Amino acid sequence: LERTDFRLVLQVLSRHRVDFVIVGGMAAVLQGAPVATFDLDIVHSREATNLDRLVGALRELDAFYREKPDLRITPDQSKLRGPGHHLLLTSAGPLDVLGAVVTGDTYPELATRTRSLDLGDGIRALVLDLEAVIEIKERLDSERDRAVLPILRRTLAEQRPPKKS
Amino acid sequence: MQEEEKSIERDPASVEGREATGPEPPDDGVDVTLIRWTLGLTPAERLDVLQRNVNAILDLRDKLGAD
Repeated sequence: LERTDFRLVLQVLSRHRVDFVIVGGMAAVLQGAPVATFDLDIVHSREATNLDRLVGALRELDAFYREKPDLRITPDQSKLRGPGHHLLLTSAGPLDVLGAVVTGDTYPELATRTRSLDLGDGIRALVLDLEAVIEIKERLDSERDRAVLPILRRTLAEQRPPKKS
Repeated sequence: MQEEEKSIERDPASVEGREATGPEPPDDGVDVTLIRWTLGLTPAERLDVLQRNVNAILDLRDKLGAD
């Protein structure tokens, strides 16, 4: 089984100049939430030029759809053009490439609610702000998401400076 | 809107400068000391910590699977 290497995935996306926003558990972790996540969720720009760059990055990572691993179905521009979720397995671990999040927001909307974070090794990425991550997890309302919400809310509260009395 | 943050800079929400004492929010079962520790790390350090934790869990899973 492929080992997860978050930094390698981000390096390849960065090198191919892919426009994307990190969302989900990884976005929460990068902003200080002490939660665990095993995959990387990104929302990509669905502009034609960006789709070309994304496909190039995914080829380098040997990405294929992990739902039917035996078929080794690979993502291409036509599949990535839509709002669907692409659950991929790469040579550096799982990668979820999302055309839109549960709120219906796509890259242009989400990009306005991001922080640009330096992740080391020359990687700078847009990360969905914690407030937006919480809003999305509230909408998802799965048992797993509900379990981490108290931690995310408390992290957000700790990020905010205490009110002066 | 976006805000720039460099790995060498501490998060503005770092525990540094935060008063050690003061009113604590209601106990919701969340370990706030852990949150304050992770907030004291840079984003790059947080990624490293996550990577190490994931590796440790996968190593353990492999070991248990081999037994």
